[in-house]
Amino acid sequence: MAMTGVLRPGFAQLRVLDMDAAVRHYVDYIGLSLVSREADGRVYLKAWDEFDRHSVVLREADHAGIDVMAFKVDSDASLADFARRSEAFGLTVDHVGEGEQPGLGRRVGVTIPSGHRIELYADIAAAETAPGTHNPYLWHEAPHGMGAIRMDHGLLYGPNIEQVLAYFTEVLDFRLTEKVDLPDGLLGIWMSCSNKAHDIAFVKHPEPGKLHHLAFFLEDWNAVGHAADLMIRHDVAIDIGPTRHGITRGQTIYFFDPSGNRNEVFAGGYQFYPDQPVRTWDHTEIGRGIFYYERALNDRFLSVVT
Amino acid sequence: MGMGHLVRIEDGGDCLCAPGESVLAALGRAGLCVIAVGCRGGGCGVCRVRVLEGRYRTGRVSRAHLNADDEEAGFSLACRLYPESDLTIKAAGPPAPDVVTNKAAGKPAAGTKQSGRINPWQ
Ligand code: FES
Ligand SMILES: [Fe+2]
Repeated sequence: MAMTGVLRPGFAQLRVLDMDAAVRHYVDYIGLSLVSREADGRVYLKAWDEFDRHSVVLREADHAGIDVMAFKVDSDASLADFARRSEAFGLTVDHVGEGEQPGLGRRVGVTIPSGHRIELYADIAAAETAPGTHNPYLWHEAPHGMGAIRMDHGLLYGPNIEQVLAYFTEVLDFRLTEKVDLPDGLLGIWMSCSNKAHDIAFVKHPEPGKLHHLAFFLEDWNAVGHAADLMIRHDVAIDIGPTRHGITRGQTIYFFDPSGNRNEVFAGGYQFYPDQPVRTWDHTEIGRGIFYYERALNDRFLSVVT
Repeated sequence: MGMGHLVRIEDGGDCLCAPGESVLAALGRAGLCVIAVGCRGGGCGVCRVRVLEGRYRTGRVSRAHLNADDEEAGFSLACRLYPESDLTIKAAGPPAPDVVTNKAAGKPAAGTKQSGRINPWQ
């Protein structure tokens, strides 16, 4: 098996201002299912094609944003190895015990130089309604809402992205797939731990620890269109789209949850292999890189974060 | 009530804000792009305004962008601001974002929309 070490983004924990409004958005509109509400108020969600117990955790708080982006690794031995390598890289590693989230094993956590908390874990309970594995149907129940297939990736904003690039590529064995290089330095990096065009991305930003968006994968361009129809019907705040990204080639809509956290639903994009060269965008064509059809950024792309 | 309330921008322009409509949505509907439009959910802080006159109520907003002292001083996030009388407001930052600029050359990067708010309600 070629894919080892870090397997994929496992879960993201988001802060929301109003839990009821957030659950309506992520469950009724995006199409996740509600796995559990716990005594501490956190709500656990999953997408229909995910085998693990949960992939999105919502926590009510007095400010929006992301608490942690967590990646699943292939074994406890890898987890120990990544902890050791993170420390050798110079980061302080902390440990979160098994069961801090229901069904989740022990986690290893670091705060990376962009100010984000990144966690790794190897064990999580199987979902009660996991996809079938024996003469399987497509799904048990037809997907609802936008029909999100999986939680796919995050784009995070913060300083020191050169060091973030070094951490993800040298310690966690990610590959850089695309980058935006401006005359005054690196603006953005897109990195993969898998066959996807990106599993995580960062854009340079003065304030640490910011969320630009959390993205969900959809079936195809028709599903992206249907998602747009639902957003209009339910008065969801759309940022931009449906459109396409030049970077990763995804067909996309950016929109906001009721607390102002940006979401993305997207389809398509290319398959990445680790022997492929890095794709580079410069200041002359960054507009087309981000929004391929508009060929220009909107003000919000670089300024609106939570 | 019924008809809504008039929202006047200190630096010029006004619009009618319908009952239950946020000030930011009313400005957008009127094509008055004088306040930055971001998340429209009280989370990002770019639509910050100061209310100079009038009564209003507010929805939940991120404390990262508006604390109790700010509220006391009449600051508000326009996407979570609902008039209860006619209002006079002014934009209160944050400053217009420095969109990707070529700092070395001191000029905007090509392919970057540099000026003007886009109106998501258009
Ligand atoms: S637009 Fe984001 S707080 Fe109002
Ligand atoms: Fe994305």
